[in-house]
Amino acid sequence: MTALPVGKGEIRRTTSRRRQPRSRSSRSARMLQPALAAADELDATVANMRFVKPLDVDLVLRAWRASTTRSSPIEENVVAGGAGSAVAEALAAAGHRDSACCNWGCLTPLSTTAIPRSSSPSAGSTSAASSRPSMRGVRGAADGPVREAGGVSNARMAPTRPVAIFRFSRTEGPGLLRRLARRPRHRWQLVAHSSEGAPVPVRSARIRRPRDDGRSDERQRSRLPGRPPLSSLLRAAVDSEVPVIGHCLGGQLLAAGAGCAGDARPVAEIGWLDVDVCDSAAEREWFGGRAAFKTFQWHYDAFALARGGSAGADQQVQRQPGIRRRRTAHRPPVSRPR
Amino acid sequence: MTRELTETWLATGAKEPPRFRRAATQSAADIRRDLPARIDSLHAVADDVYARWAQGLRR
Repeated sequence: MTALPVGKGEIRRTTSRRRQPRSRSSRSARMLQPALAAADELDATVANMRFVKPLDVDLVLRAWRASTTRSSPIEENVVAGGAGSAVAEALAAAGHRDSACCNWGCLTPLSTTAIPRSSSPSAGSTSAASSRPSMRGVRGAADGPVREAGGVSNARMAPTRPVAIFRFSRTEGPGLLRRLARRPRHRWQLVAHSSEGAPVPVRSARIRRPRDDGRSDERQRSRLPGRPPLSSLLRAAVDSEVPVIGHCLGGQLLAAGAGCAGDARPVAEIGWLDVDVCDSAAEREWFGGRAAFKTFQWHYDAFALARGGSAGADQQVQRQPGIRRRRTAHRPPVSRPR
Repeated sequence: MTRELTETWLATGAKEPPRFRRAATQSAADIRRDLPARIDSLHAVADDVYARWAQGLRR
């Protein structure tokens, strides 16, 4: 016998699929085995909540972030005030105001499988055994079309803009953006470029290529490996108010496209570095309420903010423990969308 | 950032020109310390940043 930690759940099964849409189920009480059986068929991830009070919020958030198509709390309790409600409340408290809204701007359905409200005049007098959701019901909730499942379905779907992801190195894929590809409502395209020698498919990004307006700032910055076609494309995207986001070299290219000055630093900055969020607005809007966090840096260059832009976070290299050499801070390009 | 990517960068970084190795750096051991937990935390930050960015993807 092993004592269970109060308020702590566990991941009992993890999906093996990485590129395809997958489903995830949470469960409580005796629904674990039906959930696992259904998950075997669906190749879904199963999180065993164990407790509703106290709820393992970290487990809920972890599973929610990992889910790609559907999240289904499964319980042998009534819908109202049950585990599904607790999950929805935890997601809302964590900033997912609409519990049907996923992290990515599309919508991951949260469908609770439980005893319908009409079968239970009071939660305390429910005959759970006779009303317990079956494995078939569990599987249907996790894999079926958006519908009422156990009396609750708040799923909505919203179309989104197509997304083009530009990759500059064979060793560096789209990373967490890969999750975007799993969302059924997101259209996306991975574009190989730069060291892989592929041309920039301007039309694929659905941005009209601009005429040459005489700005050749990107060419003057020969240090940056940005190609003029890509730089122009990025500038056109910003001018067209297309949401853009850049990581590492991608950030540098965005800066070049926006006409920002960039320069090489005398020393590289490499390692896990502390970052301070600049103000409460950025903290609330962009960083999930964090005032500071630690990030991994591996860079040699820095660049200025675009005109009209504002910094979201500052990196304070001077204070970093374990850093062999100290230098002044610079502002990473965390820009805000229009 | 992933554990695999961190290892890739550490491996390729060792081959970079000496001028790049004259840097404000952590050692490889420091970089690897608590790596899974650090990466999990960083992914949580990225999720929030991407969530905000992705709001612009809605038509």
